[in-house]
Amino acid sequence: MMKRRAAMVFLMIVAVVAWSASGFAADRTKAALVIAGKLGDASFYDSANAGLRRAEKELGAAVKVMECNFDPANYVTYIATAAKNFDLVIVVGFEFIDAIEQVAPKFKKTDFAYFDVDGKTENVTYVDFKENEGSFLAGALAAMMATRRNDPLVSGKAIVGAVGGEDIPVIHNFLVGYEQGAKHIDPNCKVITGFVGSWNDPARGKEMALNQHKNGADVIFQVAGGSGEGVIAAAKEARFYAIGVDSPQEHLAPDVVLTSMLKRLDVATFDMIKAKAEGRFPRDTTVSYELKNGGVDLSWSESALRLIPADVAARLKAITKDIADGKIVVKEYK
Amino acid sequence: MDLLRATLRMAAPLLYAALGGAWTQQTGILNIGQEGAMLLASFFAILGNYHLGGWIAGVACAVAASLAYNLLFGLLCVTLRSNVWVVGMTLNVLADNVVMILMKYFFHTKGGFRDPSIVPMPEVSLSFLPDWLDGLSIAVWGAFAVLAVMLWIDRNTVFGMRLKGAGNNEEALASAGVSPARMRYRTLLVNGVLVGIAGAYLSTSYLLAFVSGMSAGRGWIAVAAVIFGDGRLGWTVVGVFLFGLAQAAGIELQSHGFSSHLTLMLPYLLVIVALVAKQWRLPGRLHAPGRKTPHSGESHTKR
Repeated sequence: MMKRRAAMVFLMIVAVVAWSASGFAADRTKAALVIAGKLGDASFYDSANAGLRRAEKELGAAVKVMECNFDPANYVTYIATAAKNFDLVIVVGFEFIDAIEQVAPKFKKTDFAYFDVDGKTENVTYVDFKENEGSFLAGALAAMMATRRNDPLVSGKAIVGAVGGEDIPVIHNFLVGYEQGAKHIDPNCKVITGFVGSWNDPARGKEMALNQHKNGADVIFQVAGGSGEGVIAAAKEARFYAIGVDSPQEHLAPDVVLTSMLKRLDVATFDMIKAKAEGRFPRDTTVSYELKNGGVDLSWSESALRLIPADVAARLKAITKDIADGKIVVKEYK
Repeated sequence: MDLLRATLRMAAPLLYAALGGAWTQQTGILNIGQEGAMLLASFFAILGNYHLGGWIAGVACAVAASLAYNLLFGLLCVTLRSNVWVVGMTLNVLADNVVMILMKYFFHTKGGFRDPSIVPMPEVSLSFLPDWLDGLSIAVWGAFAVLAVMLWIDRNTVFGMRLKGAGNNEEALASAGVSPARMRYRTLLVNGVLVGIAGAYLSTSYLLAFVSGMSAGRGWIAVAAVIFGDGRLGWTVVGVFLFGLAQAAGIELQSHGFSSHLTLMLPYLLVIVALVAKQWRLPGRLHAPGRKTPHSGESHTKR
């Protein structure tokens, strides 16, 4: 462990030196994205990165991604390094919940945007996603599809499944909404849930999805990061429906992935950088991304529209409106 | 029966790595580099499969990568006589990072890679097999074939005896004209092939994608099984299946509403209980006279 840490510290020093040497033009907004895991998950972090790249292109911002690789030893140091060198530090991942409170108050000149958790810390703007609202739609969709007649992929039983990554509050917030959404369609709908216990064990994610399918679930919602790749692989193999998460994941298996519950980290990331560039960054507040402002939504891609029947889609639109208008109140996991 | 099927699927990669590790353990090397080797192999299986086309190319690349890794391990631990723990840990970290660099180079991403052109390893589908055994990957059956062959070699051949000689009393083995170092290299090569197949199974059979960190501790569980079995194949296999069964049962229990905190703990809890129970029952075994403990590679450093 020591060796690894020493190596990390050394690499960080090299990285910092390299940065300062390269130098940035003074007038460009400098934004860093610090993530707990790694890019390439085709989901959560990639979504945030998409927003960052858009800001780079459209706003000419100087951007940098720092990946912590799920190594807690990196959390504090990476945020601090980013804070020293950038005007805006966007921190993504539940795992940083303590690290951000430790670091942010010490860098008065830097703005911090912390995604995925609600809270209160000096210098930190919390960006709160109402994943429960988007998941409500996913649950309603799952229940409607599972009980559909004449669909070869479902048996018509009112049972739906959900596979989570680690057992943490954010994921429970997804599940609470999902369950409520399924029960909104059919009060007797059974919801099977399970946790893989890891974000990068697709083999076990697959096993879990196969097990839920065996227990009657014909539509399974994955909220498991890299492990969710296994859920989609299981759906492809055993022929049932899956619902993706965070980024549009329909392309991973176009005939079985119904849609994806999008958490628009890309929109939020872009918005934050834009606000900073235009000098109107909302400091020390909580910004909500919800169904109403498109911060969360189902992905209505071409392949989704092909798989989701028109009447189901219409009903989902109606539900979306009801939630936005406050006619349906989606429970939150606290 | 579905539970058994799930157990087989989950135990297969563990079985390969544990069997390979059991032999190296017999020659006095506790191979703790398994996790890195498996991850490396998973990656190279995808790389070979995607670029060269076909699952055989994938498996070949995986085995080659794993062999190279195990040879490096051998060079450091056998020839240069370094501490296995230091070398093993270092190689595990190295593999993780090498994979990341290569991912970036070949696939321009770091988290995961999947492509529809990746060819899965074939499944064995025979009409006389019962449902729960039908359609399992060839690699699962391969694991049992390897188990049978290794058990036979272990019990009935001179090679099997020499393995134990290298671990228990290398001076005696050397005086019989057999180089203990050569025995160790041989077991490392066998281990390399086996872990290579295990890695290929994970990424090109179980899943048709590579996700960084996808070995997800399986190499370590294999090491635990080897320690549990103290290098003996039979007990090591028992350890593997206990763990596989506990994993499958844990998933089943979650589907019936049990808390994930308890069910995810189950396999690991079982490993601890099994290790404690075993030592409890055989307190004198490890310190039996005339038998050096083979742990940590010290048994073959010159004293």
